[in-house]
Amino acid sequence: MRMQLNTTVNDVAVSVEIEQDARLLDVLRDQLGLLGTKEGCGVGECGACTVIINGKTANSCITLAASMEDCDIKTIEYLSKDGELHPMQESFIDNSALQCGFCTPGFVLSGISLLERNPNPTTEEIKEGLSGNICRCTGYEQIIKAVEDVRDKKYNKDGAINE
Amino acid sequence: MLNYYRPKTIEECLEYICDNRVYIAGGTDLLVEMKNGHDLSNNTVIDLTHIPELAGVKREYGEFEIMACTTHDDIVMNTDINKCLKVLSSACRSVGSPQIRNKGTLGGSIGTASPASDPMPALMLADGRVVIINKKGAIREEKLENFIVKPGITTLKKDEMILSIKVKSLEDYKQSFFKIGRRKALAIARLNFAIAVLKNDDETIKDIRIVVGAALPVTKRFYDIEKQLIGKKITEKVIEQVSKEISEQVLAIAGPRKSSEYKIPVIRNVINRMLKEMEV
Amino acid sequence: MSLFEHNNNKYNVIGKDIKRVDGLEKVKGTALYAADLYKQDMLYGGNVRIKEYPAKITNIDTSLALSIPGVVKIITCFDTEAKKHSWADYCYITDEVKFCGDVVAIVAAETKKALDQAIKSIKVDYELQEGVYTVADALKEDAPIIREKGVGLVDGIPSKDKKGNIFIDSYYPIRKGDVEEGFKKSDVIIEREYTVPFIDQAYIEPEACMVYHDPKDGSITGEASAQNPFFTRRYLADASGYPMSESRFIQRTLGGTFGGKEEGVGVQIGRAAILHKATRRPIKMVNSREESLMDSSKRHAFNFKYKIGATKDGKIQAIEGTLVDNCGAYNNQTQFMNWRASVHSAGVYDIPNVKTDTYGVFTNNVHGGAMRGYSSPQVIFAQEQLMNELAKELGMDNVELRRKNIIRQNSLTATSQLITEEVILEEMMDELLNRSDYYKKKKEYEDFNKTSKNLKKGISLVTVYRGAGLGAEGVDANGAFIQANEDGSLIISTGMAENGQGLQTAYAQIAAEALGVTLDKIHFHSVDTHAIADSGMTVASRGTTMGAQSMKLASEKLAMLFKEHVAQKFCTTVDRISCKDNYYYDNEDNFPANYSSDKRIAFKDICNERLWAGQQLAVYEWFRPALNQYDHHTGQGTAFPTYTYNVCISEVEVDIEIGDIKVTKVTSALDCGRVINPNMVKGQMYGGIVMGLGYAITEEIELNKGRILNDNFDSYILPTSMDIPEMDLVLFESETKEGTYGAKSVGEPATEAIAASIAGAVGHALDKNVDHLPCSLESILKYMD
Repeated sequence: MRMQLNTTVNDVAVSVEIEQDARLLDVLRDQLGLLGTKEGCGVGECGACTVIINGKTANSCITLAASMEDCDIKTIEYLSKDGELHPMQESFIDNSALQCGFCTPGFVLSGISLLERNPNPTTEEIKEGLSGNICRCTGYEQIIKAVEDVRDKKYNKDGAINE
Repeated sequence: MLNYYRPKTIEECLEYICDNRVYIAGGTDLLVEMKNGHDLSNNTVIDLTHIPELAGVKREYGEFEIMACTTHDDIVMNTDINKCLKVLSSACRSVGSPQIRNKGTLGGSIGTASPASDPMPALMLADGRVVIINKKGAIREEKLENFIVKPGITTLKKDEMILSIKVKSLEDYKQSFFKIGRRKALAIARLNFAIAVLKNDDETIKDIRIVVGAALPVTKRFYDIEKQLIGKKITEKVIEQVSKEISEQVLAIAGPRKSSEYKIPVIRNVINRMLKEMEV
Repeated sequence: MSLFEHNNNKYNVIGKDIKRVDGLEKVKGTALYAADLYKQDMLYGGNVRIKEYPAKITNIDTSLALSIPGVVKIITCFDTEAKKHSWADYCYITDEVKFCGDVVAIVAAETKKALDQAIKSIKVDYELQEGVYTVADALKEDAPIIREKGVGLVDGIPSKDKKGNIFIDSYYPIRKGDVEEGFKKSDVIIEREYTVPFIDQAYIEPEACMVYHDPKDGSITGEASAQNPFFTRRYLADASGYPMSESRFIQRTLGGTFGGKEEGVGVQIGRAAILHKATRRPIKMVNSREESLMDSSKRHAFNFKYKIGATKDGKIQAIEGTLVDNCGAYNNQTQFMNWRASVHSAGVYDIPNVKTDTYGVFTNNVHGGAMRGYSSPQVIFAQEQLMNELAKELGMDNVELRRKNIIRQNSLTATSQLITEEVILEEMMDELLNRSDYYKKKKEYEDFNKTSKNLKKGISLVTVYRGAGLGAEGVDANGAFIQANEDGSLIISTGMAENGQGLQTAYAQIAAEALGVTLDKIHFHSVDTHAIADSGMTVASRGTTMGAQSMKLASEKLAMLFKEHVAQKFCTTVDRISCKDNYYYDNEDNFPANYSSDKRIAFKDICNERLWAGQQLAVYEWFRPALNQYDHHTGQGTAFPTYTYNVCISEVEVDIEIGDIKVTKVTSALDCGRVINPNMVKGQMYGGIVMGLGYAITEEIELNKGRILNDNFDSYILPTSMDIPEMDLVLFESETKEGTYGAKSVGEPATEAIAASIAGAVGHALDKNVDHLPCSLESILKYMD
């Protein structure tokens, strides 16, 4: 069965016809063309499909799209929509915090989200905040450093993406 | 899906309840089941995510009422619960990952009746009662240990839904939650434990509660052992005795199976250690 | 030799922390992976498998599936027109299912939903056959024969004279000296056995591909996230039946591979090509994680049996070993991998008498294949625990035993290769011992363990070496193309692939260094098989050390053309021309910014002049190294042109009451030869440590009659950010005449010793011989039982 979904994606009001049992991940990728959100496992373990829903991170692979009515959804594409990189993205590049890049969008969003929740986290708190994202390449060390650099305000830009 | 409904109030929600209903809250379990082949084509799916009154924590008379769609993260962030029922905060914080805690709900984790549920030991420790509403609006309460029948099965009837979970505040108790997993995050509990102790001025036990999860089909609280301890002083010998008895009880119920080789000695070790570390 | 120091070399770009050239699109989420490809009119392709193996398919009923709206085509193992056996050992579609990944039918549908329904609606009848799943069972006299080509053992040696389950092409003996004599001289002889399970590469991107017809040049075109573009094209051409000139493969961003996206992606693209031929429509195939775990090759499970003898003073006299791996149902890469296993079967030790036999055994399991280390993580685990056991038996310190026996300059390896180059292993050991406070901690931990009831601490050092590149396993040849454009920008390309390891960045650095241009001027063009020639596979950590040789040659040749151009222009000689920051200068001593224009010319201006003068602006170069003299019958000769050395110290805390292991610290040193990009070397090392940690503690493919029980990341346990230890990395450089700019291998050495050293630390903590991986919760309790 199909139905209409009205919601907000990356600050844009969206009305899209979806399958009732569609996953948010598939609607974002197949219907809205937001390909930065990746599927790694489909069961909410790897975090490659991380998006921010109403200010909190979620795995879009285990999110029912139909539930997203009137929600505020942000994907990786939101960050550079004005052409400029978010400090977290710059820090990932500067710290070599990525290799194959497949998990990177999810990590960037989790990193931003954890700093919005707690602007001054300890390293242990950063690790906990990133623990829903699995990376097989980097061993996490340089990712943690990238988040620490943003925490320590090495980038002169406001990193807030939620009100 | 035969039908999909997204009610905005509990009242509206009750209207949609029917024999083939399936509830979705966080979806962290249901979507995984769907991927693994759970066929919903003949089900009516009732989406509980847009009912504001189904989320939140109320506190009254030494008790918390946690609404069914309160997320694990909401519980972790709740300062009252953190103060009075730390064991539940810790348990919820050990669930999955930030993403899972942001979406998964307490009602969902009870409704799916997983033997390895992390909040379950903490809820049972706090005399958890499930508040259930039926299609007609009638409300009943059931003790958690009675509500969970076996893995995946509860006493929830087709015309019912979980409204909330009531738990006792254990403010004056020493509390401890412990989880064993294969990694530090995103871990399914290999075993989990919750213990709370309240002592009299003379150092004797006024009340003690011990729960072990992921060892049996249903998380188990050891009422009989708890009872024996009341009025006693806890010595090292008593601790040895208690942990031995609990592990033996688990073995007696579970029977000798492959996982028992690991779990039985570890239950004994962990109960022993927790009681010692809590300095009871 | 020296500890690597920043800014301590003569280069402008080499050895510098250059930012990744592919970082921008990756942080933005715009990098295009294969699953991100969409085409109008495309169909989704999928696979039908059964859940028990081995089995003979007797009937497939597709009628219900074909009635589902949107289902376009089903090709079963009984269809005659499609190609079923691939050019390699395994099948695109088969009626003889040998393992969990074998496919009995393929389906194309308009939507993912229709595809899923169709796969579920296809009824497959089969006769289950008797299977063999463990090495021990497969070697039994009366075991069912899994493969026609299997041979048996005669006097413990694989022989074609007898039927059995041994894959003869994977048998490699090493015969050096006389082990019987060596054991006679020994005062202490021990025998030990070790086992390791199958594990998965577990890249986060599941395999995906798209196959379509390109009307512009008429080729069948495949795009995929593949580790080896030309290897993948081989499958595309094979399955489609088109010549390679009409089979085009285009590389997409690769979401991790570690050896896993070789044949797996090849077979997938073959299946997509078959569906494409049948439907004439673009086919997109994307594996679920469960399919990825079933279908892709695994790091081989191994059984090791070792005997080692030494004199009282700790000098090892002889080592004898049988190294048997479970290669699964198909002879995927065991025949290559076991060669490397045999070469390294006696560790990084100078042992006069060596006799080892390495061979693979067919079973009805998922096939073993490449995974970062290509047998070394397994062999090193066994080898290094064996060394610890020997030290214990000798009453000798672990480190001193190693110091006494390690390979040095002028040592003979197990293959009797004379090591002529500088070996800095001992220096690396000393640096690490010092840095990690090894002896102090060792004593502290041992004292602590005497009184601690629950918690035990351990520390362990491991020394290893690794043959860099392919060595005598193949020819490490490669080609590269570089072209300059009139605006001063450059396009570089090679037949090898960016795996995420940073190959693009390293190649861009190499070109920038030779040509004196800044990195932003260089664009790395990923492989398009119609635009560049085959350079072999991106494997064996050869990308930079060997693969980039041709890039260096091409860049230097182009630079020479430019220098000649400038020299002529300034009426001077080529040796006076230098280049830096997009300018060419007459005078190499200094580069003042206000250089007068008659002494300085912009790179782009040279390009422009050459273009309009009709002068050469592009170079293609080929590199072929000297061939190694190696006798495969005795396992004697020159195995590799150069070796990478690695020392690693791990520290653990083991909670013996619950079996929990906390890896507290890993200190790792790598002899990089020449460091090309320090930050990226560190990235390899951090990632290698954490991958090794998973192998040591949590990772294992759980099998029941060939069925994979843990088929997603909720049950196949990868380390998270909360599981990582403190990591201290030490980069060394050494002199070698091999390797691009003297660079040695990094990717695999970064991980191969880690699990061995963690297991060693666990063994130290428990005072036990850790004889299998992973060191799970349960296994720790068993050790203490």
